[in-house]
Amino acid sequence: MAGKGKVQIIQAPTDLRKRAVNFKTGFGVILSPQETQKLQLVVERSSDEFTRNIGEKLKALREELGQLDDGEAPSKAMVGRIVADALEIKGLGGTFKFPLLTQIAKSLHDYAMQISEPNAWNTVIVSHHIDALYVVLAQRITGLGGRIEAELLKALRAASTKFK
Amino acid sequence: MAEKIDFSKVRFLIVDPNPLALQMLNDILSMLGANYVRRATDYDKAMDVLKEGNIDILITEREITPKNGIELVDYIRNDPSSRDRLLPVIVLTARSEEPFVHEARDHGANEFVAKPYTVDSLYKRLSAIIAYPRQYVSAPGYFGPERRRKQVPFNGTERRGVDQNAPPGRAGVDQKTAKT
Repeated sequence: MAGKGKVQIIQAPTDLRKRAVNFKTGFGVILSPQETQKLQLVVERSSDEFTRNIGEKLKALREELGQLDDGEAPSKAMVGRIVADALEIKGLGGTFKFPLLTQIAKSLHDYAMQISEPNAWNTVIVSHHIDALYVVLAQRITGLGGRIEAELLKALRAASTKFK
Repeated sequence: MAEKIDFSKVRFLIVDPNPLALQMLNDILSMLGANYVRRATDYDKAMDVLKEGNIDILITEREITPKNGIELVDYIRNDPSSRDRLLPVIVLTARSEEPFVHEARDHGANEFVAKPYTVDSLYKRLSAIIAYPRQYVSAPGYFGPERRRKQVPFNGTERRGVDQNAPPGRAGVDQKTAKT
């Protein structure tokens, strides 16, 4: 039901502003460093749950992949789960100060997204990604890591491009 | 005196299939003072809440099922049964690549926040929506907030109105800036 024919400008609705904006209570329109810190505490409180949650997901994926025989391709359903889990880790990692998790998960998500007919190479590449994610989480590598981590990420991306 | 936002006056609907992401967002909004936060983990549950009304801001992940978050925005903006076509929407998503940003904008989302996000980046979008609401545009093929953000000062000759200083022949075209 987009506009028909003429372009029409509709004034910005102001009822929400009238209701919520004031000079007495609430958070500043621009956050002060103290307010930002207060909000950041909420994220930090969820950090342990994030680590446990993602750890369990990675463990389950590892076990599932480990049950495949040598040279066996993952099922399409498994690829679907990998896509979903990788996107979730990509979306949350950086928020919890694990940007390296986000980057590896992005590489895994991009790789898994293009799998239409799973093959044995997919199992290998996906397994390497999941192992790398597991290590980052287990070792609590916050930040982007160092030279080794950068090399690892580069290698994963290169392998993803080569072995489709 | 500086303006403040009282979030206890704002009613939210947050949609995300991931329980942890949903809980964290809920906790952030609660810390801000919001005491009316409805939660949904999929499209259908979000629709149920939207149909009830009483929502001021929707924050949705793009990757929801059985339809995606952009289809939810489409419903709000374009469906005749939508209760509030001007409802502010923030798309908060891990699908953060450029085409998804354009997609959200072109379907009428007010703001786009890429995951992983910081509380600061989310707050800036919330603050913009509440304190500085944008006007809406109804045009063939688009209904939603004005997509132009920047008001860039224009030093050339005014072409859209009648310009008394326009040179004859090519009315209103600034000869210096026209060579592109």
